[in-house]
Amino acid sequence: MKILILGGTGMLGPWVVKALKNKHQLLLTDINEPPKKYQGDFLKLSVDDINGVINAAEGMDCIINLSVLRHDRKLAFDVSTKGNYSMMNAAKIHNIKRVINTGPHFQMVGQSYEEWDFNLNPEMPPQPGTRLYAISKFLGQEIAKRYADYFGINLITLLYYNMRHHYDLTTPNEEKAVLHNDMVPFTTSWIDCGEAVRCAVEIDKSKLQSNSETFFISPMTPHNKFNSSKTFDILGWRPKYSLENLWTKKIKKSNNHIENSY
Amino acid sequence: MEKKKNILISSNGSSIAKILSNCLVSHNIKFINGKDLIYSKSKELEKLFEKIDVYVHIGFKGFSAKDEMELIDYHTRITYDLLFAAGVKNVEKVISISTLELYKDYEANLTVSENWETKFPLDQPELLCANLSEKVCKEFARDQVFQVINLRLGDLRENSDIRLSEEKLKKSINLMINLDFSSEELKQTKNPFFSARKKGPNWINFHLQDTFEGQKFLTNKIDNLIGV
Repeated sequence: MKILILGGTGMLGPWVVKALKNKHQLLLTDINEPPKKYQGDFLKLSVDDINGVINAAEGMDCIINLSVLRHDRKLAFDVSTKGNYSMMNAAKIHNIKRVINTGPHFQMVGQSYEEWDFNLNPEMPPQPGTRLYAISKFLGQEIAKRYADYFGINLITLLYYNMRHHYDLTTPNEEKAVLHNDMVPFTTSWIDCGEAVRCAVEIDKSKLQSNSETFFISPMTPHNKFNSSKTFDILGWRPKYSLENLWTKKIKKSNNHIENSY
Repeated sequence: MEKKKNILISSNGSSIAKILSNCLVSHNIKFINGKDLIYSKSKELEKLFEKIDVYVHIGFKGFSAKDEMELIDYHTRITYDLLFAAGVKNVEKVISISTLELYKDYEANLTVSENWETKFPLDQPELLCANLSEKVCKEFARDQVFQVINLRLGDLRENSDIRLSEEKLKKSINLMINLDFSSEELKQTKNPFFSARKKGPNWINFHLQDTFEGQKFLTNKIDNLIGV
């Protein structure tokens, strides 16, 4: 498949490239250049540049959106909301029938759901609340879903919770993790997060019940706070690292977040 | 006699803003002049909401944009910025002005009420933006920042199957300014435990069009309140 990746040199991008590069033809785009170890095609592009995204999408079979900026109000809406508008218009214009969107779990199950005890699931009505990151991603998702339903595009949305490097349990731009202290039951390794995108790219259309399907990407937990059964049953994702694997592992030092990726 | 309220309206250039100002003439009205405002400066935004009781946010055809990206920016980021500032300044109520055209894609023979899912064509960015604007307002209501009354208006032009007269709009919006909708919602709740509910919902939709034979939208909810 020819795949356009938006926001491909951020936190998740290197792991998505690792999962896809041997089977698919990738065009990686981002406002930041990839490191030298990345050998594939790259285009410098901001996701809110609608004409740039439309041009880059020509001839593609699939678009993956990994872009995110969450600290500045303008940038957050430019990337997470308007970026999705660019992406979905590109899909419409070039008749691209598969779009993979990614985001945080709380763009759907935000603050007002926090007190719920269990069985939060991806079929619930979204309630992101007013946190900047959550609401800007949610509005982007609303645009993407409308386009998917109206123009018959398969939109697969993957929602993540807590991502850590499988060597040393770190996540970029945060302090070093302390084994057993900084983990939540939904901790997922970056390498497994990339695999989830591969599952979404390769899933047979007949398994999808509607044009817009959302999946929680986190390992199965006994208390079932986030119900990921749909992810296991339909997406076919099986994480290599469960909480138990990560909890009992021996920490292996990594030089940076992208070690063992690309 | 009801107390005069201090009302801020989100823009002054559009025809809907002019109609709304005619309707609310008995109150103290101020407008936001979008051209002069740098929306990224939050302190300046907050100044606009000093001593404001009610903010009227026009989410449909209230803003003229150079292209669709600017239109989306206004109805998402700038709307978020404005509502955030309103929250900081403890504005008690927001009236969101939306449109019944959000139901354009339903068959004509269906009778649509306030809680239906919206369904509209995507060839008009204004409709997508009205939907996005509603969503932003709703999240502020859901987070208990202030109450939001969402008015989906019919067409103020004469020959429309969803026509809405200025007279009905005036009567309705003036009622909304003073409405304690939490208690109104509770009155309509038949749940035996409703007395245990300390606080009503913070979000309410009203569909507003004239009442006539064959009208497309069910308007009992607003008509009961204004006494049609």
